[in-house]
Amino acid sequence: MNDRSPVLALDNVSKVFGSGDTAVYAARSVSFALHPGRTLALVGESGSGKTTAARLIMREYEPDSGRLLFRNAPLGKASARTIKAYRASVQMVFQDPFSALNPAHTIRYHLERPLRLHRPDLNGVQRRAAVVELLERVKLVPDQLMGKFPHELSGGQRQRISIARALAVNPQVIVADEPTSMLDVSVRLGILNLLNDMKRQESLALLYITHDIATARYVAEDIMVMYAGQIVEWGAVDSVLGQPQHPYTRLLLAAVPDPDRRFAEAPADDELSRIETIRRQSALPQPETRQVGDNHFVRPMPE
Amino acid sequence: MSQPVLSIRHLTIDYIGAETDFSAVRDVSFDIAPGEFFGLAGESGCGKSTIAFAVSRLHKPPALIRSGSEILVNGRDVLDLDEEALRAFRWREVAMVFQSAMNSLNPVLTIEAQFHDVLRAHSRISRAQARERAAELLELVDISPDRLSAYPHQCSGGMRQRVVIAICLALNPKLLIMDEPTTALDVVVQREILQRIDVLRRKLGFSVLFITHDLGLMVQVSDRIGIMLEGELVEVNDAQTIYRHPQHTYTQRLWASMPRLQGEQIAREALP
Repeated sequence: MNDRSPVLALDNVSKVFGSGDTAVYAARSVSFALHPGRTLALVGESGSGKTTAARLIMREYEPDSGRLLFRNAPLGKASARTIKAYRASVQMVFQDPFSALNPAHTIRYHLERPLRLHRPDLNGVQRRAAVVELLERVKLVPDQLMGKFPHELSGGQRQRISIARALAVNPQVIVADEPTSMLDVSVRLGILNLLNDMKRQESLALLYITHDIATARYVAEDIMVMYAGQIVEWGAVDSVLGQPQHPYTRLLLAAVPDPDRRFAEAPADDELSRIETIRRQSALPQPETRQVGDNHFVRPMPE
Repeated sequence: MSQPVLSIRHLTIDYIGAETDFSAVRDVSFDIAPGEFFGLAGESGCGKSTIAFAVSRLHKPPALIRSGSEILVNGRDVLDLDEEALRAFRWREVAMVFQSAMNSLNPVLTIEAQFHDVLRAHSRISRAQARERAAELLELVDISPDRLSAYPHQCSGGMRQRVVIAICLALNPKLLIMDEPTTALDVVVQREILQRIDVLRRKLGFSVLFITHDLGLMVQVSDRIGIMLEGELVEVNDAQTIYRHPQHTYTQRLWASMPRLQGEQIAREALP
């Protein structure tokens, strides 16, 4: 982690859908940076703008304002060639391993395709060798799986294929949007460990998007909490989750299933009794930023 | 103890295959008392959903319930019911919320029409009465009655899930089966919904069979918990005991593999 400069950064990015009274801020002045060898978790409930952030990075949406920086250079007016390099460097792993793979094609086809597009120098034999290596990297047995179709694989295996496909082009950044939410608990851990290993071995920068805060704590060094398109609190995982400052962060944490806190014994005055109020207030613009710790920031709610 | 609402005895279910049969549920027995919140946990493929389907007799071939199995609901064996009796039994005695329940609403009918379907099929009731009842049910799940004229796509996922639960409660069932009811929802919405169910079952007195693989959540809401492994019920106990003093090694490993918010991080070698 000697290299402190980010691979990828969003600088004050906003994205609005609709206009006038019905305008919805899917991203409101969002800034964050992804560093090699580190995982940044983005947490929030459905509709908070998590996936919009992923789409902005993947350039599926153009920001209305603000900049996307790749290796410190703005990507807005980049050449086609830079964009192609960007696409190879930034890869995505999707939520649903059942629909992310084409049912009509074999596993080998899925992994060869990105190689054909981004590594035209490889010949057939080299490509096959690359596929074998990819499958081994995600801890699958190549001979068993290469000729199989997605429906013949379990959910966990399919998610491993998605990860292998993302790794095929030697990316520097992986955006993983809820990669384990559709998998079983026991399988989840395997996928999270795999992402963690990749991050360490390949110095990947990882953006881990989830609503499962406990898994975010497990994989990430840094965390951001998002609501209504705004990042309301961010910083080191232990600091943000250990001393949450924003009411919305506290609400999210209170809602996480915790076997030590029975429903019947829930205190009457905690965040869970004020869900609607907290949601309403957290949706208002919160332009101020306050530093509350070494690596811990919060946007205080307007009074 | 009063008579259990649900009493499963020696339930054995096989999926009949061309060459070999797959044994999905093996000699499972447990009871659910009136008003009790019973959690059934285990990995995918352990047979927990197969049990849920069997209780409402919704299982289809190749699933086969072996003879000797009994599923008693209020003392009556569900496996003996004929078509007509079964029709009367479903919704009225046992209602089921499916895993992707929020997608089980008909997209081209209003919320009101979907309530109407259930109410008219099971009771003699006028349109006006049905509307009134539907409004009452929506209020139970914290939805304003003016949503009755909305279509499913105009409601959020959490709201659709609550509509489905309200429809399930329409005929005052004795047992509500929920198969992964909030897996597709985020934590805050999940918490709102389950807290609501918890309040309602205390108020209305129905029992709940809650199926999930979210162990933390299960301990939080359930009175008792059963742990399944490869078709067998390996441990049943009250929620706190099974959480604090698990007996079976599989249960111990399940707790160990649960990512935590506080305290020590989980061991990487917790599960194979």
